[in-house]
Amino acid sequence: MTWNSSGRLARVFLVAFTVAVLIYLIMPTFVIVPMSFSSKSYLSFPPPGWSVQWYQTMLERHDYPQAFWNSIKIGVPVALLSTTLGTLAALGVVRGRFFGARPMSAVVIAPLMLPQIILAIGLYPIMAKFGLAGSYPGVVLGHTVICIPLVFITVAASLKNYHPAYEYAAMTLGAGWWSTFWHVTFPMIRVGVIVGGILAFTFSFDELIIALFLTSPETRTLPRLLWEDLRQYVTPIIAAATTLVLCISFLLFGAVALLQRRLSKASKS
Amino acid sequence: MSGQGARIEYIDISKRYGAVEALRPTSLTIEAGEFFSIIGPSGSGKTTLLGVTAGYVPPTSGQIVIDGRNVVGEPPFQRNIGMVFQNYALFPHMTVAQNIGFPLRMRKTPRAEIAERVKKMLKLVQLEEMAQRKPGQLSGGQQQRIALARAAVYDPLMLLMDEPLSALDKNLREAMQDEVKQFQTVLGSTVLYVTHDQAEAAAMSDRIAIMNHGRIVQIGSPRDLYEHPVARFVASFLGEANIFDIESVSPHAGGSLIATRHGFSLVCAATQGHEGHCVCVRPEAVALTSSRPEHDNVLQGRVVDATYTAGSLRYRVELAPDCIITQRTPSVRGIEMFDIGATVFASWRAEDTLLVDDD
Repeated sequence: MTWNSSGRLARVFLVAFTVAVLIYLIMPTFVIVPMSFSSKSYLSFPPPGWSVQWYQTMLERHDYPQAFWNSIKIGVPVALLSTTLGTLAALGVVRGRFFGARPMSAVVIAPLMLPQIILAIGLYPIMAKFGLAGSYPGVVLGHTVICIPLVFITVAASLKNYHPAYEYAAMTLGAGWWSTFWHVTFPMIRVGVIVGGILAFTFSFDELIIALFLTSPETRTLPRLLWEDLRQYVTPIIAAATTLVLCISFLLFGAVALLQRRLSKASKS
Repeated sequence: MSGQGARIEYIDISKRYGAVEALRPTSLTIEAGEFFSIIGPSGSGKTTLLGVTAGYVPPTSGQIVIDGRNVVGEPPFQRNIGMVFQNYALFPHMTVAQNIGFPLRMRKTPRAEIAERVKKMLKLVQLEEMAQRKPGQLSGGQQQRIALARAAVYDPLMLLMDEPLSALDKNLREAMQDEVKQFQTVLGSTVLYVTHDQAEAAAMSDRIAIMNHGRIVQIGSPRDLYEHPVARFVASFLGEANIFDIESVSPHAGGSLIATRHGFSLVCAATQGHEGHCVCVRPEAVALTSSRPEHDNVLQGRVVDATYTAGSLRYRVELAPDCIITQRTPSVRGIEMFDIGATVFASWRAEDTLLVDDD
């Protein structure tokens, strides 16, 4: 066998392997989509026939639209709050020269690493004590704890991308702390901040465990409603709602990918 | 955009990071309008001195008095000092004009005046047609000129430059030296210039301070430092130096007679020599001949290396095992070159036997 033909064989194998891994990663997620167009009233794959009746049923029921709006009413403030706090934390840890900056970043990231059930069990009695259990602020605070590290990681990465000399330069040129941030630091990390915010929203939008503990029937989010429905009647409505969540998540991830491409282009020029 | 820069006085300024003394208590005065360079190896404290002056490194002790005002404790943005950074630090998201206008915008200068002064600066650095470009679209030399323009547009009290030419290639660097110098002359600014390139500092500066281990070893004009180094470090950092370790020193005919570790006897015009010194002889001070000349100092040796570079000949001559000296002469056309292995006599005047501190 020549070097060339064995190289071609290796390439064919590599491509086949990559495709197999991609299918393994993505297929389970997409199995839900055909199931939502089922003509029968139970979940099965592949569906025995096709219809859009479950999407109509979902919209006619009052609880699904309400849960959808609840998820947005919780996700948006979570994104805003965690973007602000996560960005501040990243600025402090990456740019600050104080004792304990490294352990500090471990503390900030910790909520992301720890099992969410621990956080949920811990948060519930505290929220109950302050009368926040089941309220919007309660679940917003709970989600923000996990979303701060998401923003922290993306913003810290974009801060590390460029030298603090830009900030020193701005200051010697006469810009105060706030002006330096607003005119120099923020424009340079903007993409990282926006990406962090989108990730935070997506996380809150999909999150179940904390929502189970901290929401009430009035503030119930879409993932929680799905969970509850799943335990009672396993109808393709669940698949329809899940497909909706999937679409929104993919839209947001697409936005993130586009932004990151813009970022890498900007840093090249 | 005129007049004189400020006079700056450092009084016992120091900086300590934990147990590391980055800058030992240092006092120094830079005159108004002076081009003052600091050279030294990395870690010698020169960058710390710059950071302390700009205000983003708080000093551990001491004062920095600029035109009679102690600025220690003032944040960078209140000091009215211009700084040019090693990689220029031009804001990538702003155009060239916005970059130069930035310090004026921070000072709430009226829009029309900003436009006018930016235009004037761009004319001075000859980049008027680049006003609307982004820094990423400019060459290194152009970015450097924009950084200079930005640091000077608001008539700062002084200009700090942190190895501003180190990112450029050699030819461009030499051309930019002239430009930076001319820029300073036109504006009359006081410049504190930090570099590790001694040739660059010598070409531009009125005075140079050589730093090592967090302190200034010697201050003087480039010529002073080259011709009268006080220490071995200065002698070998600034240009090339042939160093001889001293065994003993004795008085001799109005000067002194030095016995070196390799057993040579050298005549020196200076009288204050002692054993804590070593001898420094500059490569240009040495003459090479094929027959023994009549001279103050004559040592016989063998050529081990001969290099021809544009404009000069450089020989390495072995005087004794593990004692090789360097000699340099201008290469005029038709000059006779010694072959490698040739026996030669190295000679120099008693005045060129320099005594310097051996540390």
